[in-house]
Amino acid sequence: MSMDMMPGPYPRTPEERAAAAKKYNMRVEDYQPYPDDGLGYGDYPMLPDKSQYERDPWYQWDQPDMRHNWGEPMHWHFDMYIRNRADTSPTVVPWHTMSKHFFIFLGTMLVMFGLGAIYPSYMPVVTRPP
Amino acid sequence: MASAPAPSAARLYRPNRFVSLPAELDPDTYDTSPEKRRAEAERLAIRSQLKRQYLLQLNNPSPPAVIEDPALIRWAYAKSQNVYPTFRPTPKTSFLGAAYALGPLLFWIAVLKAHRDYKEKRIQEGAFMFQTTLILQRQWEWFLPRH
Repeated sequence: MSMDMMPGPYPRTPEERAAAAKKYNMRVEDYQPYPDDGLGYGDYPMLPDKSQYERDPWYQWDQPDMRHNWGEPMHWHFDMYIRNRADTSPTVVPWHTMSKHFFIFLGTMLVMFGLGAIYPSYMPVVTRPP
Repeated sequence: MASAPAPSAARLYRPNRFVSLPAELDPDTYDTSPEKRRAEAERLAIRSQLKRQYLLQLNNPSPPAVIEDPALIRWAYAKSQNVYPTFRPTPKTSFLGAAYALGPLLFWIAVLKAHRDYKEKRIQEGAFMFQTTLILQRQWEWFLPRH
């Protein structure tokens, strides 16, 4: 592979953008590089943050375990989104509902245990006379 | 009674970094416009070209030892060797560098120094007047009572 097929700096002109989209095997309309913050992404495309779990399990991928086709641009965090790791599939219950239920329960239990440790409560007993 | 229309199911779901919107709630699923179909056709054309190149190499009677995936090579190159040339110091990157590199170092310096000063103060006050040898006394420093 020659060096002009490798990732390069952030594309500034529309011609550079079109060339970068062609290099990454993407449509020009689909190609969206990471914002130019100086963080080191260069012209690598910013793909949607979806894990490989969400891809069709019944389609004949070129690499079935990775659910990835030959030459298809890989997500920057591809190694995180493989099927052994992070999963962004939609959940039955929305995320904010789940977090609310969890943190309210956890907070209540922690508060009650904390109060119980500070103010212990036990049956009143009388000391034996000496 | 004029009230605002109910929020859509997609907006109630609130997808974020950790979960995506289900396809059933996404209005894009039900979009059958010609623009979308043209886009899908163009993507399929690119995909077919790539698959043809791949299958030509795969079904070659004398195939190459390894069929290189250019996407994989580009991904590895971008993450390892393209970071330094495209990095540039900005206020954001300088702040992040200081926070991640200097922050923990200064934090642990402060914590360890404070703890050692506390231990020294307790020893000077004579918190450990055991009838033991000096070696045992130094070993027992680790079990000093809490503040």
